[in-house]
Amino acid sequence: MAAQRPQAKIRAFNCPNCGNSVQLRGMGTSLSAACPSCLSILDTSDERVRLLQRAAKKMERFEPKIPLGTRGKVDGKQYEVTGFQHRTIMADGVEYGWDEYVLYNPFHGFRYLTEYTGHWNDIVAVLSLPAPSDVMGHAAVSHEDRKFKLFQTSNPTTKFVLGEFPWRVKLNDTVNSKDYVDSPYSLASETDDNETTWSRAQYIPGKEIWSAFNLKGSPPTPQGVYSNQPNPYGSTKPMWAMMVVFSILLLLTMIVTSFMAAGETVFQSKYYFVSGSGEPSFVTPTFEMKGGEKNVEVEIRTDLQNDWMYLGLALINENTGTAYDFGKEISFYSGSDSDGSWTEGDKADSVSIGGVPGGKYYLRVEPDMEKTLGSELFGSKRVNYEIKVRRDVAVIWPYFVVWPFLLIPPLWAILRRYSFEGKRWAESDPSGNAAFSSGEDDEDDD
Amino acid sequence: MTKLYGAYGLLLTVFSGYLGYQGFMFSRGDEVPNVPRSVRDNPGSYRSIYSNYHRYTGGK
Repeated sequence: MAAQRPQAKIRAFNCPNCGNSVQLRGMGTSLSAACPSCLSILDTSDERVRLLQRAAKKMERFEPKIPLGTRGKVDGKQYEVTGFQHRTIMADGVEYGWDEYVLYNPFHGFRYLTEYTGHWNDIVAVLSLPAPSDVMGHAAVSHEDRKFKLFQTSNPTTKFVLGEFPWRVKLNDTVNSKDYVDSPYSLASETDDNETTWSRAQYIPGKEIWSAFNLKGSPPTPQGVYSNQPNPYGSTKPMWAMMVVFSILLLLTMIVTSFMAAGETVFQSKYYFVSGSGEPSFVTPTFEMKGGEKNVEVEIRTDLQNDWMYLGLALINENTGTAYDFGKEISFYSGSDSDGSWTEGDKADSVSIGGVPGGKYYLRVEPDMEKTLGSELFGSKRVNYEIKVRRDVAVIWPYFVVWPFLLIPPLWAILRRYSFEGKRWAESDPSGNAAFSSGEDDEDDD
Repeated sequence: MTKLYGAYGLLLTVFSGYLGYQGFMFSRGDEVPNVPRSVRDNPGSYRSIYSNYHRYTGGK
């Protein structure tokens, strides 16, 4: 014979203050309850219901978003909402309030839901005591292999109650609370005159609450960032790992393509140039450049000293008559002054052009130097130089250009992540100073 | 996001590898078509657009 589930027995009595009917769903586990009519708080710990606290006549009412008596599944277990309270704290002279719901299951006991500006938490009592700890010098507690960093110290005050509670709830009761955060969890300690209780909260999206309790409409849209709200941008570690992999791939690709580049010297010869000695231009013998469109590098070595020269260059295809014009200036100066010896420029340099089709080419060279009166008259300015033409030289610039682009996405991701964390911790008040601040600048008048 | 970054990174790596393999350079010589064959024998008959380069580059 199958075991029968116990049915929740509803106990009813009349409020000793207003006479209105009060129902209890806690199956004898509730220690106090609020009259739904006059809001007075009643002691329900035994059969003799007594008045604990008479509510103020003009008391602000708060409507629970999950009506009392609603049943829903939390953590795979069926619970019924049996109590509701609204609590507030003061910070910088501003009152912040949130709602708390008492959930009861005769097999699994109590658990709680809290809601603050659309952010929901599922809360259970902690049976083992968290141990004091620290996170990078900040106060923290450790519990079940997690470290929770102190987020806030505050003094919550109960402002409104409805339904029943497993403790003797009282209006305007204030406790000292410390909230520790390790998203999506948080730990809270609440201390009153008699005891300290610890509870563990887990952030839960509002839509899950709505679905679990089959509530109508849609949950309120969360405002801002909540203390233990999961960071929606997740960890950036996988991206950084991929960044390292791609960097290694780039390096390997650079090495392979550099080795694959022919870098063949297709022409090399030595010349000299005497400034003012008539037509300076000349052409080189024909040389062959193999393959399709590849780059060409012209390397020039000179014996310049405190002078410059310019080489006008044209790579001319012997068959098609197409010329590729380019040029290179080389200068080298040296000397010494009060700062010591100095040099400027270089005696050797190179110029490269891309996209030169294969074929038979010759180089037209037109050297030029600064004309002085001496060089015009005597042709005394002479420079020796060597030209070397290389085909298909290795290029590595694409890898250095691309690498910073690989950095952008992970940097952006980490920026978004830390921006979210910044918003979270901007609301932090570990010392609880905000609770005692009026919110105005405190200036001492002499 | 990570998958998207994987595709992005792969694309960049392949693209840079292609440019490296091709020996790509942005600098191109100024292409002048139909240069007469006589340039071979008379180099002075061709004047590059880079001719008549005059620039003073003094020392320190």
